[in-house]
Amino acid sequence: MIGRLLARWLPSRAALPPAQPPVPVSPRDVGLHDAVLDGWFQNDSGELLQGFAITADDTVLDVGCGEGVATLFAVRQGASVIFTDSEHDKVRNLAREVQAQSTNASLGLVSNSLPLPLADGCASKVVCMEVLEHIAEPEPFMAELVRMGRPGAQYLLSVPAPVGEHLQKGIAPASYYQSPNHVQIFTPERFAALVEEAGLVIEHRRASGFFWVMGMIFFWAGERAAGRDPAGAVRDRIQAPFMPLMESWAKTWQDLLNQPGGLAIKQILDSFLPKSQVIIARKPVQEVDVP
Amino acid sequence: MLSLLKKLRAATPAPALSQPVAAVASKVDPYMLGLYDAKLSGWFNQQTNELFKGFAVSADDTLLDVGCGDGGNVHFCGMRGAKIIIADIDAGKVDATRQRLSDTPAREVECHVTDCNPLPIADATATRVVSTEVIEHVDDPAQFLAELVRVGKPGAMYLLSVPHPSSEELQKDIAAPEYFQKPNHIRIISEEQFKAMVTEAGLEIVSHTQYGFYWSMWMLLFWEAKVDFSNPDHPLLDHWAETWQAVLDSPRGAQIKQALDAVVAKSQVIIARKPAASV
Repeated sequence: MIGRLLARWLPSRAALPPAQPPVPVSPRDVGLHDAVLDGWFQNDSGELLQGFAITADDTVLDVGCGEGVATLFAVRQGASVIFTDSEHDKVRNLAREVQAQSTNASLGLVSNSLPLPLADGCASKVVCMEVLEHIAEPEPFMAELVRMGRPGAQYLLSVPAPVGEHLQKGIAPASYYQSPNHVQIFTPERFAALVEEAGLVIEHRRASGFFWVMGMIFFWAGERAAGRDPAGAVRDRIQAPFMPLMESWAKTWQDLLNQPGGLAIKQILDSFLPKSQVIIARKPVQEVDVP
Repeated sequence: MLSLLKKLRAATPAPALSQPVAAVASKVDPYMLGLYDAKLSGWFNQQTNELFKGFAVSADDTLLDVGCGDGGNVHFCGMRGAKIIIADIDAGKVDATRQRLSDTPAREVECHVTDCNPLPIADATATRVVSTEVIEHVDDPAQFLAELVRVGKPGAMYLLSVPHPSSEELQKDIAAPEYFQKPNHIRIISEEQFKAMVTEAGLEIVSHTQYGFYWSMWMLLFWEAKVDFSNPDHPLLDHWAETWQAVLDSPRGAQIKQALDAVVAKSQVIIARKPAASV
């Protein structure tokens, strides 16, 4: 069998034009491509995620901005931005990038406590991605988010999906499940209840990211192999040079997405084993009277 | 297309090899890797003479394999010196397996081409009964299992496997339509149903395990790659095999495999025993 495979392999190799070095595959690029297929970062329509369009009229509040993918997308749509994170470096670096790209009003805040020093109703769009799972008491935090949105404001909220979180147990370091990392695992029901009980009306729900479920497991495996026990916000630390296992997985996924039926397979895997669950919700225009 | 997993496992003579796949050439052979993965799940243990963990075979045994396919299972058991009885509906398979067994020290080989309804074998003949990836094909699983139980000696051990529902569900909208039609998989068997079938046939369950995340992903990608099963040469499949090889080679590989096998498994395996005194 090996001989036959090699025999097939070698002549085709010989027929190739000489010495094209293989193009390295970046897991981050493949992850971005995967996210775009899920409806993220729609430059043409200005939707950060399908159903969540940002315009130049918006003031976008990005709570837990990290490296700032959402904030920078909003800046490209001409919106004003307010971004917060508990890590000082993140806010400082993002502030530089925002100022380099936009003359609109912007504000970066370093904060890891409530209340945030922002006025009621300061934002028309509120983004809070992969933050709630870090918070011991998510209810008052959600109430803060609702306070800062103006009536009619739209919210984009995401947390890890439970299946991926449970799968990583025993593979991710113990610190992954401890403060300041993930102290909550939200079932879809609990996540929806948190949003609705805070007074928001859910418009869309979705779950996706099988690529990253596997990617994260392979990331931990590689870190372990390298003798590292990483701490801090994990996704932001997945940077070149990538470990061979991550690269190999990214290649597999890229091949799949390039296949004619690749999207269908991706969607089946996403629904089976999602990394992340997203809710798009809206603050009612009129406060509901509480009797 | 029939009984793909068995083909995958049986496609290589490798139960006789003891070298892990890491030793082979730079291009990862998906079948060799699958075999290595199966061994990590408890298949083909040369040291303990277990065909699967909890299912040891010795020269004293009379081992019946119903639906022997290409004979990978009985080859391992023939190498243990056991008497081998094979039964399959496909005369070609039976003949090929008979030939494959000729280089083993099996103390006797008996072959039947049969639809297994009934098995042309006397009551209480076998001390070991194997039937892998067959029950999902048959019209009447209760009748089929009753036959398997009839031909086992009191105290005989059984190794039974069927596809795990997780992998079947994943493939539902992806696999070629004939995959879920007669004579292929005409039913999806849940873990509970599988246990109930075996128990109701009068066997005592010793263990119930699942494995094969690697194959589940491979099969999904295989349908999309649209390559020939006998020579699945496609970058998509190559990259997945490379990825899985790297997973298994990593320090936590075994743990990762275990976690993923628990979520999406190609196959579920029951080891069971026929009660010593008939009930």
